[in-house]
Amino acid sequence: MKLIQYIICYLIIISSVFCGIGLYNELTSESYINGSLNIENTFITEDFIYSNTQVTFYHDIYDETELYYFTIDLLPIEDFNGLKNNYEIIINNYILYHAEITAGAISASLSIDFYDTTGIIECSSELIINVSFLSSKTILILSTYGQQSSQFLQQYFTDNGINLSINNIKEA
Amino acid sequence: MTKNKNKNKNNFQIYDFILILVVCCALMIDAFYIYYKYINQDITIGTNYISSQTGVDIIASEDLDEEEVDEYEERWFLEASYYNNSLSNGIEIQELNLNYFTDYSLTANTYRSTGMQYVGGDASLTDKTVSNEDEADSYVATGLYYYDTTDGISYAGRNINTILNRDAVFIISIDNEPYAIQLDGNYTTTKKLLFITQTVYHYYSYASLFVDIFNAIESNSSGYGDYYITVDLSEYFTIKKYDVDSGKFLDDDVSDVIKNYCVIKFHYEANGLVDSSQSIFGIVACNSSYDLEFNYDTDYWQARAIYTLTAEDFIYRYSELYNGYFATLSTEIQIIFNQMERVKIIVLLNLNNDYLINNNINLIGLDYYALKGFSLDTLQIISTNETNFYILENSLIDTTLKHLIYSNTISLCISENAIDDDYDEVIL
Repeated sequence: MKLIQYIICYLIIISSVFCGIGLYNELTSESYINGSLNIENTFITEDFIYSNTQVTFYHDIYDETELYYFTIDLLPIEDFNGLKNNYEIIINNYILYHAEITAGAISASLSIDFYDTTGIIECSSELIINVSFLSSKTILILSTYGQQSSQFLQQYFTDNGINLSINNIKEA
Repeated sequence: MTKNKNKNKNNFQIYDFILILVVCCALMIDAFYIYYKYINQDITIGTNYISSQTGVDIIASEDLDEEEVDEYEERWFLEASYYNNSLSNGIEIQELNLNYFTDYSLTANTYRSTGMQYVGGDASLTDKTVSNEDEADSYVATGLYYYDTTDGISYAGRNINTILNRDAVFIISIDNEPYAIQLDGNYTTTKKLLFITQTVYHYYSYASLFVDIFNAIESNSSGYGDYYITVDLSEYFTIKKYDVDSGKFLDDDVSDVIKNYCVIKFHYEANGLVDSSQSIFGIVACNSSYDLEFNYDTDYWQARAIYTLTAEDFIYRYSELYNGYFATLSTEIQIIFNQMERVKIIVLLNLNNDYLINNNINLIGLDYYALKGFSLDTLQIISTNETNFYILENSLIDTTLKHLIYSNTISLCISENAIDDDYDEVIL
């Protein structure tokens, strides 16, 4: 072998030491789960998640209806496409499978009954969830009709927090 | 000589062979590294973490990774919340909270927070600075509510231990080392009276800090949301490093720290505040049960989500014998509901449903094992036409059915062993 070949060989070996260290760091670094594979061979990725410890419903004083709402602007989601992809919407472990999904928006509702200690329904609430994926932001609106309903839902979110996720279901 | 030459040649050959082997291994390592580093990349698809919540100076907490959040969480000394009520649905409220320690040990039991609250309409903040130094040092801004806490959870108002004036020295933790921070800044203006130029000193108070911070929040470039902002507090505060060993402040100039280390964590929204739970302190105007609207008693034992399943959630089998279709709940729906807890399920079968009509499904009953083992609260069958509806064997076994509701135009034909629960029957 010629001297130049030896030099190349040594350079490769030296570079492999650095690459080896880098590789070790890559392989031993901690990661997070970006999806899960279920028994139906579908791969689910989280496209949107909103979590908070409480929700406050507001009533517009100029609004004559009993609509109480909570709205928040979030970062834009670029990959949402309701026409092309399948999505599942989950709020606090409840799957909203009858959700209406359009090209860039999702609307769904969840009915919740609140029971007292004797098993009697104290309040029946309907939570309406609207998520609009705009180019500059994502708008989340949670709403309900009636003051009592809004206060029970507020209490529910104070007790349980809110965890709303929209997942893209892909065939594996 | 020739022998030695051959021996050297052999040695070189072995050496070259080993070298080539090593180079091969090295190339493999390089290839693996290039693959993992540049080809096999993890991609996060539009994940939006509101709680893990930036230009150079302002950072939306959504844009931070966990490590950065931890870092900023360590660094914030001031926490602010501003409901500016531009939507006129509550009250305007501004809150500023100072998080600090009362001892150089920086132990959890010496942690304390003291806060200021401005309730819009109730007070005005016009007095920002004081011109006399002695007066300024003991000056406590009026028009604000003050709160403090020793556990970081429960705040108390009115007679609080910490007086927020220029005499107050707070201890904060920077890289787990104690620093003393004190509001003692001032600025000067000149006043001309004929030929005499007089220098006027203006001493900052906590009211001026408060007003300036909320002006900064209101004029921030990112608008409403939850942010961290690194602020230059050197105009207001001086900061000294405390040497635990000598028990003295170090003379080193650490003003750079206060210029770029301290972070204000703030929440800014267009809504107004409607109840005390939205306050950092859980209190509004020293009233922990502050509420703008009538309060219902919202204590409940249990909450259950209600789902209504319709004809679209079923699959259908044609029966020549009965000349119609029998319905069975789809496996997909069963899987979805089996993994959910605390749900109340209602099955509503409207025989005049558009879905059934459009698909030419003449629904005449529930099939064998249609809902077996599926937890059900109510089965409701509706039709405007006179018809028979068959509930075949085992169709409602182990369903814990409580209510069976059907139209008076429907004649129910329930097979033996179709239902094994006690249920209420209601005819509409």
